[in-house]
Amino acid sequence: MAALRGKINLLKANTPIPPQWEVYQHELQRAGLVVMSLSLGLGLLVGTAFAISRLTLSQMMSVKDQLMSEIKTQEQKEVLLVSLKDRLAMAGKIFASESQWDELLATIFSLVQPPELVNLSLDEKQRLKMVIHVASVDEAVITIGKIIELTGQRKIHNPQLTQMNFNKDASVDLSLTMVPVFR
Amino acid sequence: MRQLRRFFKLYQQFIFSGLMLVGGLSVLLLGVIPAGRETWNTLTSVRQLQKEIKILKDKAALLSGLDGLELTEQMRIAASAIPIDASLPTLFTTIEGIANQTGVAVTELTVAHVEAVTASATAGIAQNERDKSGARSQKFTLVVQGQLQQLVDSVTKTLNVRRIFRLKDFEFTFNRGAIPEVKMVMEAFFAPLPRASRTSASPLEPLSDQEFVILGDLGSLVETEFNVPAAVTSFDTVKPDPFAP
Repeated sequence: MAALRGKINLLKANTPIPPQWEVYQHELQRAGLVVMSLSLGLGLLVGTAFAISRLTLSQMMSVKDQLMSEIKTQEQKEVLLVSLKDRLAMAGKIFASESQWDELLATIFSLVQPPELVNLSLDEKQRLKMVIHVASVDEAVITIGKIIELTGQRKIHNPQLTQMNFNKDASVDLSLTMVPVFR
Repeated sequence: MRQLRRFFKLYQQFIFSGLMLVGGLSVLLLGVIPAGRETWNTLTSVRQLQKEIKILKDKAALLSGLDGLELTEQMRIAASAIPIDASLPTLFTTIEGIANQTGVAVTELTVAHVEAVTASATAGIAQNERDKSGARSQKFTLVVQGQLQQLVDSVTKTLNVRRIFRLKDFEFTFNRGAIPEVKMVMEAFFAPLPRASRTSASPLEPLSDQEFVILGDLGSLVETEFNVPAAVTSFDTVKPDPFAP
């Protein structure tokens, strides 16, 4: 007995950890399990999604390449269509901004013609400028009256008599400006 | 060593759980999140590609449905209205055609900025020569002589030929003893072919109803003494043998 006394270990083989540490250990174990299973689950999900999306992408790339080569063979038609559309858009805008000079000229020449009409031009402010030579003051009044009628018809506006010369032979030279109206 | 073994034995649950936690977090941070980001980018690319493929499909269907000959004819009409360059020869022949039809005599035809109208120089043309419509314009001055009705007809015809001209300024002169004349300052429009800024993936729309109306209007305008520029006719089918007669 005395011989065994030195060999018997009366202390516990495992030193018990404090009770509050057991709670921490339990929580830590649970957290570890949760994080690990979450990362594995998410990893599996993301990996699958990644594989599918890469596969879809590569399939779509090949479809795109196929369509591109198909379009490339019809490039000539594309250039034609684009050029055509460009030109039609330009033509549309030009037509829309076009002033109907032919109609206005026809109207003016129906009122006054050579030899009474000496000059008809546009000035730098896009105003119509007329130089008229008439035999008498009466004719000058009639001509001015006709031009004023155009204002009523809304073919011109703001007519102005800029100059009026009485010649020795009783003839009259008139200079008029007016702003043409286009619809 | 014995101390260490004892420590591991004592805290093995802590160590195992801690390793699981750290390992799990590492997998999450270093693996799952970057992979998720990559997957998101790939899905974004897929979505983008879906849109591109839709455009390409529409475009391929549109192009395959177009009649090449009809398109060439439509382009010929449009290019006779707005050529690919200033096209002075067609400008002169159009004026000549108008003069022949109306009976006026062309006494002067001055073309401004001749150096800027050759095909090679159009790229350097000044911005102020570009019209609001987007087309470029070539200014020219035309003086014609004739009787009043002939002069009026020449102005009217000039504004109603297929080669689009715009009347910028005019002056009718009726001096006693002199032949009546009209001086017209005009613009002739042109537009170079589009540069290679378009890619195959650029969307393409068919001709709209409004564009068909404009094309019809252009087609109905008189084409006087007009030849389509060679560069436009080159869109026609390429000759299999360039040396063939």
